[in-house]
Amino acid sequence: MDFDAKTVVDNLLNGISAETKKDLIVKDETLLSKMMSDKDSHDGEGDRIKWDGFVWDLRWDCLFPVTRAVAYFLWSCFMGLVFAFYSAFEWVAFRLTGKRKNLRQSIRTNSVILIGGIISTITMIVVMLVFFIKDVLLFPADNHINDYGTVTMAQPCGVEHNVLLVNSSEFWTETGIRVVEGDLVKIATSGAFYGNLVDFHDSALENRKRRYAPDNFHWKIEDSPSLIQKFKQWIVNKAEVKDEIRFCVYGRNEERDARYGSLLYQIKSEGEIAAVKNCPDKEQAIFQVNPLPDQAFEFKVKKSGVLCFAINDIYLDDSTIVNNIIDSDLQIYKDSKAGKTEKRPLLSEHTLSRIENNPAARANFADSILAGNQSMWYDDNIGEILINVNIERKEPGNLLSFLTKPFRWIFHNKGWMWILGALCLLMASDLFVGIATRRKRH
Amino acid sequence: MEDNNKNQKVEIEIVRHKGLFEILRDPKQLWKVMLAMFLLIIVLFFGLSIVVVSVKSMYPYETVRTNPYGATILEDEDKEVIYWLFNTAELWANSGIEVKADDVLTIRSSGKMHTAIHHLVSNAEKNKQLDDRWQGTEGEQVSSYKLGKDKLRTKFRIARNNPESILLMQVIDYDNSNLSSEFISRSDPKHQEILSCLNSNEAIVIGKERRNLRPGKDGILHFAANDIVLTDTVIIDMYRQYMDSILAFDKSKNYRIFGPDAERQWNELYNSCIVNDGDIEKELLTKTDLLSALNTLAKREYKEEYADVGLAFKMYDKQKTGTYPVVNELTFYKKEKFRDAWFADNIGSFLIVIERKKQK
Repeated sequence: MDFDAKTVVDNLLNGISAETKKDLIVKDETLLSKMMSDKDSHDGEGDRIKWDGFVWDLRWDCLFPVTRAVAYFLWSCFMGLVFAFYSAFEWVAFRLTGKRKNLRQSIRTNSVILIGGIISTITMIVVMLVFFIKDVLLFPADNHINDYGTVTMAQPCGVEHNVLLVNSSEFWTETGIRVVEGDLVKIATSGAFYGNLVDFHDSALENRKRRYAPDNFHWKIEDSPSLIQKFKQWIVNKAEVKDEIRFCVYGRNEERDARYGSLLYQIKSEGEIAAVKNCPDKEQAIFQVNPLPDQAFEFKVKKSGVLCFAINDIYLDDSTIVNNIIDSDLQIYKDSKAGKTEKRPLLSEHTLSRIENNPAARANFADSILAGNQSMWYDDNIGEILINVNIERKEPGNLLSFLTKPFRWIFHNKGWMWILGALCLLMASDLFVGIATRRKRH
Repeated sequence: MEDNNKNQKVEIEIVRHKGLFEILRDPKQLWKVMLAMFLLIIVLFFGLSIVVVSVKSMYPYETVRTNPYGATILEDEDKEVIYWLFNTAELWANSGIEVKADDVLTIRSSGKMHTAIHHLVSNAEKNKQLDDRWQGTEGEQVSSYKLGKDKLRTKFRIARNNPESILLMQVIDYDNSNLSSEFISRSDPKHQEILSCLNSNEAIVIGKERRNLRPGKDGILHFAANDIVLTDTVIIDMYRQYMDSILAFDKSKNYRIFGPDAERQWNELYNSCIVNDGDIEKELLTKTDLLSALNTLAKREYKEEYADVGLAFKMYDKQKTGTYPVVNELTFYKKEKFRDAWFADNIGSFLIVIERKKQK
């Protein structure tokens, strides 16, 4: 019966006037107990609220007809899902109790859902505030140096910045920077090096240009891809450099973008020895850093491990390579003595004169290289490179990573531009359609 | 309420929050409320994100980023600190650091360089004390053996009358900045002026430290060690001075190698091959008096004295002895457009740290 103050008062008065003994019971339950009681049940089939089915209601007389229709359609789909869940729970309740319950209209069930929703909302708001204040705005500076001399500066939202100095004469510099599959790595560098100390010295002594192209002085070609093409053409025209590329760590497998003197990276497992070349029958292990103009080079990590860097230079781990170089150089040496070429051999003339026409000396020389001098081409590199490695961790590693990732995607990776752009485009076109159809109708 | 004659009972049930219970009885209403709460969370997330990003952009707190040229930038609310490694063999190396005319910069640098790797190697081979010492970013005192030469060369350096190898900076606008290896070889006069600063004061001397420096114009910071850039204009001036000093020396010593005809022919060669772009080795063959004088000099025991005269240019590799000093390293640099020849043999790097105050 509805609560009606006038009726109560009338009845009280009647009761008093009739002088009959009345039992007065006032029921005033608390909100919570009222919510948790199951008194109001609509278990009869006639009372059950059912799902209305998929709704596609396109009305051309409103301003955003398609948006409105899509919103209604999505809502009907969502409600279909909700009702499906209710039906499933009702079936479970029936199986357990043997009674058909109308859970979708059960105050108790829906109260639990509502209270759960409110608690979740409050929790999410608090969590968001904590995230933005602690993990973004006031993220504490956490800088440290690892055993390899790499300086690591942690940044908000699972971003890490590493800086290290690499000497160009080192074959695969260990950085101690661990990366995991899915991490996004960006590399930017400063400094420069030259790949041949003797030529560096001799060119200064003889007042001539260095033998290798100026491009070679810098580890990177910071120019446009068209200049990279130009450099490749230069490689084709300068046969000697073309030969050197095929002896290099990257280029041996006929990698098409190989450049002599470029910066290489690989990700290897800890404790493992760095790969010295890519093998055609195995997964690519060594990659070249190829920056485009005004952009740092970036790549996504495909295999977890530790990052290493090296300059693309000749590494003499293979007797075939050594013998190819010796054969090629002996030919150049012979031709240059006969005045047939101005090319210069890779090996020194002192060495070539010693091993020319002396198979035993040649074999000894080749053996000595393979036995312990494989990195002789790295040993004469001169110069250092300061490398910045910026890592966006796929898993930010904090408890609030479910907030970190969307925030990072939206604001670091400019994802918000895509969302806003798409929304504006859709809304604008829908508005245009709505106005146009309204005008047509009028 | 039951009004029963036999058992009269008044039951009053107070129902509060009628609206809430209507929602609880209707699953559609309930889930609309749930959806509204969810949308509230989304809107709050975006709203807070915008606020946070705006606050962080205005008041960055320990932010680290890099530019494509490898400069590491540590940003705070009131200043930026930028680290960048500069190889001294590069001429006007592009740091990618953009500045505005009224920025206030404090620049410090560290590291050492050597100006001549071949001298370094030669001294090391002979276990000799270095002829040229390793120099810091402020440049150092010139070694005594080249004091005279240095005094003459200093006015051709990028920063005139400043120590050799001192760290220099120039603000170059984006269109003219060093973006490729062609930066050094471009021939237009404006570009050559950027390289050599011969007639401008664009080069800013940094040395070990410069405080509260205002760039004076918008552009990108480029760095170089102070030395001579061998642009055509510089070579023309230097060759003229060198030529005059050789002729003056010849007269003062009374060696009389260069007679009036040889001198006249040398002037003609200067105009045709140095000022203009003739082939000096080829045209020298047509200057018989000059060629004869040079051949004479080549046979004299005092010929070495000519190597230390004035700006003291040396022969270049593969040069015939009988053409020196008319043909020398300078003519080679001009022919090859080897503008950064005196930078190419530098060895060593400087770490440059730039502090920029944020404009309020």
